[in-house]
Amino acid sequence: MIQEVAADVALGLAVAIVLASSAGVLVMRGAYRKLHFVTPAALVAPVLVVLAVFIRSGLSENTGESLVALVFLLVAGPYLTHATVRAIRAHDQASERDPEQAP
Amino acid sequence: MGLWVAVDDSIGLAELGAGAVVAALAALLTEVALHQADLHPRLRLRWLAGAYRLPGQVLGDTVLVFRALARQLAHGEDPPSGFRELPVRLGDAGDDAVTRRVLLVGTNSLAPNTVVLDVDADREVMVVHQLVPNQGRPE
Amino acid sequence: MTGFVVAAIVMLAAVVPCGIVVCRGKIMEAVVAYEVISSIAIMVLILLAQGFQRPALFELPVLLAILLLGSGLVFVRVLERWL
Repeated sequence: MIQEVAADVALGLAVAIVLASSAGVLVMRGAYRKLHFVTPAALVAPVLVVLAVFIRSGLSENTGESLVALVFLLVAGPYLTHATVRAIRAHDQASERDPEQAP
Repeated sequence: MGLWVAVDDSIGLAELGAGAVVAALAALLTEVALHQADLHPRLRLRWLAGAYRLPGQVLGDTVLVFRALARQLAHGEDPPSGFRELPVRLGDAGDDAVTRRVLLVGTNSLAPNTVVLDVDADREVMVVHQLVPNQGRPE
Repeated sequence: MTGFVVAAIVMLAAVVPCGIVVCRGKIMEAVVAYEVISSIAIMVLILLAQGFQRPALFELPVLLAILLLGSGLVFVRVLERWL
């Protein structure tokens, strides 16, 4: 019973974070500001999802594979965000130099 | 190899053989890429000493970022985001500096409020974009 | 329907705002929205695999997580250098 409640709480938090991140991507003005809402959806929410899987399944194949996916998200996420902000900056600078070419 | 076994969920001889070949190929390609880029990353364990602060930082920044979102939704108030410069120590030029730079980019981009744009080794500053500026000085 | 399946369905709703940005936003904003959609897809697949209790279904989100970096980098590098 406690296990189910704990798993549901973790899931509820993960869903709330993803919905809020999605709202942030829609509402915030400019790519730089939107980029800050990728990390909660790509890092924080998956941790909660894997936690919920662990609470329900214990140490099992399901948890192991979820953990592998989580590790890749945790390792790759920051570097992808870094690459994205560099691309946004390069794109902005190119648009400033040649406004007619800006998409 | 471990990842192959974990995903494949089999310890059959043929599967292990295929996993070994793929792992060897991946290791070879990594070495070739590092050789071409003339990179020889070297990790010092003492650099990871501050890693225990990361989960707290991520949670704190998540609250900060969602608070800014709530203000945007409620009052239409744009967050005062911008580029900031943070002082960093890279050490002497070489493999250590490269590895430190990679770790700095990764750990500082982990939390939602901060995204690393660049690390200037000459001026020993890290240029970051923050949604709610709370560190460093303006760029 | 377990909580995991319900969570997956609700999480899919978060794709809609990101989809709006992909369709109507500027190109770099669309890339950011795409990255969020990729992460949501991985989580939805994990939730469905757990909800339906099919261990074999976990392999797809693992592979997607591995490919997330590569796919995102393709977009950002092309946009940084050539567009």
